[in-house]
Amino acid sequence: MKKLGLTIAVATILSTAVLNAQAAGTHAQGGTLTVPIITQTFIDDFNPYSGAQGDMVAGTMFEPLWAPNTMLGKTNWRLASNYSFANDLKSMTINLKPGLTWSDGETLDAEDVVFSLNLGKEDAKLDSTGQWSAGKFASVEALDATTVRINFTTADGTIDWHIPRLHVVPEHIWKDVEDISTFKNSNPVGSGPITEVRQVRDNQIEICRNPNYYKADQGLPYLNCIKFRQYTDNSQIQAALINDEIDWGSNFIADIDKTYVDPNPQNHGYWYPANDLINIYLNTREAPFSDINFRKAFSMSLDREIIVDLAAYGYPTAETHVTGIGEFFKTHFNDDENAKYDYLAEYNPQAAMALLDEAGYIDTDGDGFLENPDGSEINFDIHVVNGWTDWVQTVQMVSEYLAEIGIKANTKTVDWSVYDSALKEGTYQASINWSRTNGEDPIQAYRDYFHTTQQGLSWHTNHGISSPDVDALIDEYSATSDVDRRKDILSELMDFTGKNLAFVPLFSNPTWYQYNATRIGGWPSAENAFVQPVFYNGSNKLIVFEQLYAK
Amino acid sequence: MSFVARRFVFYFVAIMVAITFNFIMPRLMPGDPVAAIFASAQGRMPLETLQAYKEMLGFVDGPLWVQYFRYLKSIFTWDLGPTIMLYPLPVTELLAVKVPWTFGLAGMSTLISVTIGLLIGTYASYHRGGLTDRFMPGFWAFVSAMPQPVTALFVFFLLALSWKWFPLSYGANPDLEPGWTLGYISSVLHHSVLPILCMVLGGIGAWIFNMRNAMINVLGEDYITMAKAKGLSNRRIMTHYAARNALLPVVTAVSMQVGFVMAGAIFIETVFNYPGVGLLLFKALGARDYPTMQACFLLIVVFVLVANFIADLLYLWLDPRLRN
Repeated sequence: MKKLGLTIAVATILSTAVLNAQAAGTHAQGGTLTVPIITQTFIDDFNPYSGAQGDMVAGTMFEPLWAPNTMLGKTNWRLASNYSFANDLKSMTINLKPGLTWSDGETLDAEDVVFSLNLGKEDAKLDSTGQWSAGKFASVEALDATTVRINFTTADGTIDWHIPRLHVVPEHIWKDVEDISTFKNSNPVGSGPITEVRQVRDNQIEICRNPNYYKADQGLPYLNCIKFRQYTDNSQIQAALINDEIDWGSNFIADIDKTYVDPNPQNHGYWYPANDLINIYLNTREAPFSDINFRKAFSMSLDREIIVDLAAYGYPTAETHVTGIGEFFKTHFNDDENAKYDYLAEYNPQAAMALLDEAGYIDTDGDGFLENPDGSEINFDIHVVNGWTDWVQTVQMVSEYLAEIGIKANTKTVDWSVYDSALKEGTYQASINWSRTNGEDPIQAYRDYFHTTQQGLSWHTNHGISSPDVDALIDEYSATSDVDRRKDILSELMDFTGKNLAFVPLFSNPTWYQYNATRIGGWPSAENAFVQPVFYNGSNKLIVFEQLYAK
Repeated sequence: MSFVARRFVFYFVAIMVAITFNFIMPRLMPGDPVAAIFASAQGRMPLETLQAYKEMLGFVDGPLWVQYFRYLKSIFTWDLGPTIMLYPLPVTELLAVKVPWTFGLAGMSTLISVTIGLLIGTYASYHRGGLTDRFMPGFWAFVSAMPQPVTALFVFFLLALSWKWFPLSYGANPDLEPGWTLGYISSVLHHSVLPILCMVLGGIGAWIFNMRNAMINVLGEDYITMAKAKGLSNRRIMTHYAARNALLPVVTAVSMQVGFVMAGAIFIETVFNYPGVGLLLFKALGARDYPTMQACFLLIVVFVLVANFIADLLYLWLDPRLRN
């Protein structure tokens, strides 16, 4: 019991931000939220691990221990009131709120959390945190009714990012289930704001208020029920949104201002905050990409604002930095590092041509396109997946911009399997791909970009640039709990990324989000940006749902 | 009844060929279902999940011929495995929900278009050169010649989205409890109007043409002249002498049409989010959901063969010469 008393700096910072405090005022209870789900048919399956409807019940039926809010850089405490790492970073202790209950009235305590964590130990399919499979967890134990300790195999101060993905399920019911991966959980008992299944039809499911919700004394949730409606594609959801049949959309809508907002500007709205950064990865093992000057010229030749406007209706956020993390992680930006390299993200074809000229790229055969300094032809393919239309258009525009500075590049649409293996094995020349945002911290993006253990596994590592120093920095980040040291490491990684330019950032994908305030209020929006409005993420969905009320 | 026996052998062979093709075709397509699921997640899915999915969906075991025999066995025991899109829901359970809707649509629309088509075709041919004959076949041929997705989108946009006379999606109002209540049944009917309308618009032209042409051939026969000479009423000649004989080629055409109705259902159900087999097949193709795809194809093959078999029986009834 010696080291547990010491709460480390990270946890202290996180715990200062209790998001509940931001609720401006309370609202009367009542009302039903209607949200679309893309599926073939609904079934009476409420197992959060199920592929069929797991996403639907995560968060709102099974509360997470805490919910990271990347938009504010804060933690929203849910079942847990706080957590702390041991000094040696070889274990963490999670403290639950006192007096928690399941929707059937049974007590929710540390044993339930231990049971839920241990599910992943025996069966990889139930390892929602991924930490048993990764070999990080050694054992899990309940210290008392509200305290859980997780022991690690090695020192690691980043395991807390994975815990919010855990589905905490009731041990008193699930312990008797023979095969949890095929368990339907038709009569669910949960801990979230809505747990009572009122109806299951092939095109509609209605789930209502948890009678024993731990926040009931604060009047939460304001809404009584969620109605999930079945749709099979975006175009139907678009029609249903326009017709006020549903309240919350998470889908692409063509020409949204005209088709959705204009018919009812008071209540129809959308907000597309930045999500993952989209890059063109360059294979630096071969010419011409082996030359840093060529890569710099590539980046400077692109007018990202125009690409975003023409290829993607202006919905994404054009990237203005080349240091590897986009708007999504803006709370982690180091402005000095960004400033050093920002000129590379500016549209400057003259500078690009001057740079190429200086580096010896000349049009020797007079065909209008430049040749390598050794006289060989420059002619490369940029891979994009067949049918991902917005990206295909993006790559076509990139090729046109490159042609303007005398570089011959071709848009190559390929099948997913070809694209996938070329990226992982490093057999592409250039290829457009996303970057990693499914984590709270940008270190995971950098691990994905550069750490040599990711080669062959990730789409983003096999561009030919790595360094033992960078590997060591990334490893050190996980093994330290010193916030300042972490900031320094991030700065060094940003510098390394900008200096080497193994990929050319284009824009941040939008988070697709539309809201209909005809019946429901409290929506996040550009003016009220309290969370990344993602429906298909239990934590974010829960934070949004808690603010919604019937008008 | 050697005619019926011979047909049975024919149908057995036909179904074996069809299910073998059904097995081979999806396996010739590039990529595998797990990779497709992964691709559609566009990077939101952690890498570790991939292997778990493969194991879960059984895509790692056995050479092709073992898979084939397992496939045959599963078909004859009606155990078609779990779907991929809605794992672990069994395919047969999913189909049981979907089939009645498509059956209703296809049945109603075929009934309506055949009835109206045959009546117009018969009438037009009997009064050749009249107003009906000059106007109707041409007009309906024009309407039916439009691609079905276009017709469906046009009808959807005008009658459902703009004028709001009919609902945008579903087989019935989701807020109503399914059952034999007046409210639910009228909701089902209300939701089925537009899909049926689109199917009728797509099919009716062919019926008018088939019937009119068959009738014109028959009307030139000597026995029609004979019937007229006997002084029979026009209506009796039209229905009992001409139409019954003209129906033979039309019956063949109807049975062949069942396959086309299913193809039309894919577009129409997709546009109206109608919970039938056509929409299911379309989505299963996109998700490379082999088990569901194979079950849908199998179902369509059985549909077409059963329709052909019914046509054979109808032949026996309509044409006494076949009975020996």
